[in-house]
Amino acid sequence: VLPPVAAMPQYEKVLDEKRRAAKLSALMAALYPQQKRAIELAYFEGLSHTEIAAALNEPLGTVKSWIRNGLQSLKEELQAAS
Amino acid sequence: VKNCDQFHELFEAFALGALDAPDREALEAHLATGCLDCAKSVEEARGLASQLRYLAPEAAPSDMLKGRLMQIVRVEAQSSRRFAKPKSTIPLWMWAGVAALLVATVYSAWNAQRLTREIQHADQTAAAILQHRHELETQLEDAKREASILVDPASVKIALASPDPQAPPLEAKWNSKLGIVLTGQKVPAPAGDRVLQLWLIPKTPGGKPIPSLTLRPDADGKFVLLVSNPPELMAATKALAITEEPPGGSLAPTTPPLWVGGVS
Repeated sequence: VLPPVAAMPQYEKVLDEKRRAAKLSALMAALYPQQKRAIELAYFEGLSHTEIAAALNEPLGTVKSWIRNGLQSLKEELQAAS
Repeated sequence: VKNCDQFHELFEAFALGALDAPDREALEAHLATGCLDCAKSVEEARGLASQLRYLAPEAAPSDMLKGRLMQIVRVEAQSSRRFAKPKSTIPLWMWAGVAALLVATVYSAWNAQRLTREIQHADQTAAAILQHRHELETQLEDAKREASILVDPASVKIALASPDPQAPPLEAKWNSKLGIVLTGQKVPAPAGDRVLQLWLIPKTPGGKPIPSLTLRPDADGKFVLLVSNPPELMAATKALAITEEPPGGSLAPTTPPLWVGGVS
């Protein structure tokens, strides 16, 4: 049974979020693996710069650059896409 | 002008919550002084970081994972201090990190696939809804046209009678601009898939019946047939006739007419 036509706006919103998630997944996948990894550890695991550096056995400054440069490329790609 | 340069490196990590305490406190103290430029940059970075929530809406065990990981790190750090292990071995906590990343990677790939499937499904459903809506709009247009034909005083009324005294009379209204509406009630449905077909009988002597649309009455024997573009002009038509035909209709009548009505 088809939902009523009046339900469309809500539906469009959900669809829009799904599209955005897919877009973001694609952009994240296009980052350098180390940048992606560092951002994921910070955002999803809640690790700090120092903790990420320890977890990855990398210098602190390198980890800082990965996060900063990774997010900046993500921002540029998102702006270019919209 | 305040010197903000030292903070420019920190906005993204601050928005992610990844700054270590000294950096975070320094930036917070600076923001507390009311630096609008830095506040704006932090807002932008927060907007970007908030987009990341789309990535893994159901990635649950982050706190737990962090707790476990850091516990292993602490234990390993203490034991290495105590026993001064050789540096060449790969520390245990690194394997935990590798395992966590592997899980995250597999999850991301699986999640991306799932999202793609959901989007395809949603697109299909949306297309079906639009199709349904289009059909409804078409039905509405037809209903409006039917109503216009029925109420327009310029429409010509045509009564169709049957040689069978049991068959109910039918009525058609023909509007030269809008088309023909044929209605019937308590009309017995033809056997099987067979249909009733409308014919236009031309005034030309010897002219063959011109085929029009087919119909089947509903369970109550009711029907409304709209012919938007009649195949012939009213002025050139002598009569309307209805026969029973095989499914899909015929090009020439295959049975004698069940109803006939003269066009005055």
